[in-house]
Amino acid sequence: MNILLSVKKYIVSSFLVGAFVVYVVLQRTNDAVLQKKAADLLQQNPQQNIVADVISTPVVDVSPVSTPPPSETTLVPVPVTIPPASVGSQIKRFINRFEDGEDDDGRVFIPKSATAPTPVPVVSTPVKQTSTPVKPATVPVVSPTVVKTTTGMYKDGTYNGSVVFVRDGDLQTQAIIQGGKLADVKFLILPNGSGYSSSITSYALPILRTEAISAQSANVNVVSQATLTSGSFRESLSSALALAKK
Amino acid sequence: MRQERAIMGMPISIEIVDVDVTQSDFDKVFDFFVYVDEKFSTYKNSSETSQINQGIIRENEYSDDMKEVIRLCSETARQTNGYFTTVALDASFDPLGLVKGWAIYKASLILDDLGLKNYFIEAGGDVQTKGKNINGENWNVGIRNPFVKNEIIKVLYLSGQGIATSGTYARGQHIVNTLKPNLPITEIVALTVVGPNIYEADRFATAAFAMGKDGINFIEKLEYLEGYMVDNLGIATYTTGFEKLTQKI
Repeated sequence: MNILLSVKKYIVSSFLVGAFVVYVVLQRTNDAVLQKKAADLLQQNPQQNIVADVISTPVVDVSPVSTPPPSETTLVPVPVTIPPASVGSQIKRFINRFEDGEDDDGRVFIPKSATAPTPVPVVSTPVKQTSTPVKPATVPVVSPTVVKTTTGMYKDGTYNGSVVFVRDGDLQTQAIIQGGKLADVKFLILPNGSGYSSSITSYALPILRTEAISAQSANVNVVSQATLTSGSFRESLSSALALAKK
Repeated sequence: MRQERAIMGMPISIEIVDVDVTQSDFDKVFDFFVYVDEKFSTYKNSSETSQINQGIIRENEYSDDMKEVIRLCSETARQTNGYFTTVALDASFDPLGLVKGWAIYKASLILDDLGLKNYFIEAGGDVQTKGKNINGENWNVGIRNPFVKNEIIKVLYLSGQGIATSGTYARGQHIVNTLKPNLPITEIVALTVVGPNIYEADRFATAAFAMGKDGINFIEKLEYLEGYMVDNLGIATYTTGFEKLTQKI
């Protein structure tokens, strides 16, 4: 159970945190355009704004899952406005990383957990729609004799996040799940774009980046490295570590 | 000119490129490190630290340097929410987690007073830079690969800053798994901190390393510090201003 719980926690928090990160990227890039598009989107699809009262999370299924055939009534992505190309590609890069571990250049945005506000994990009931054609490429082929284990851990569909208050306005995201994976994140509501708003990105939501370490030119003047030659220094450090484990 | 000596149980190297540098300039700095070792070592029974632990000297008899170090230690303990501590495992007083960075910084002030403007002082992998190197560039400072000796994983261009690395290389070596970068971070192997001087960099590197994977967030919160953290999977996480330091100016 513990493992299940932690897997669930990990997924839910990764998703929410991920949504925030994408928000930050967008916030930095093009506030105004997205906001307008988000507003348009709200007008086009008013039913998407219903936020569930009950806290629910995307279904996490660690047992082998087979994707339902496309002919069934299924949860499908609602057509949404595509963000500007540059922003879109950033989202895609993030999502690829989110799913696969790293993107093309091995870098990833991760949020600063210590200071990032934790959104309330409320996910609305998926919007049910009658079947519309799903891209064949996104449907995993299920062999009749072999139970295929999909890597996705979500049910396909479009899910609206709860409206979360960030420093100077509301924020609402929408997750689009395809093939059991997070395929895209849209913004239904963004806070007012302003100088004040963009300061959030540098103050409340700083972004730490990661990369895989790799060998560089050894032609340097001096090298910084940990030294444990001094036993006392090591002892001092381990006492600090012991404190950290309390 | 570059010189190296082993003091405080570690190699100390100094490079000064000012043309008017003399041997006596080097000696003054090395002598200072010898003094610090005699004063603060926890190994030497004659040191003030040992005498404090033995109850031989009272608080009103402490030297000015000891008073200063103790004040800085308690300040650092407060600023790091207790992650920095002078209380050793055997409950004795041990200020060495701070003394090295403090000593390098003080040594750099000696060179400043001598009118030297282009140098670095390195002690046990912690470095204070100043001015430019022999080619007139910022000092090229490498960060060592915690898993591979003699391999550099980052080159920073520093002038005036201090850079310190805390880490547990020995343990990290056995658990690195670069094939599965998706695994969650379980252990931090090394944390490098760049600060306005080596004192700031060293004390916060020591404390932030003890915080585990939250350490890099702690560094990020302090505006004047940048950090580069390597976990046991060989993945580095770095602060927002860190990349600037890797750009050759």
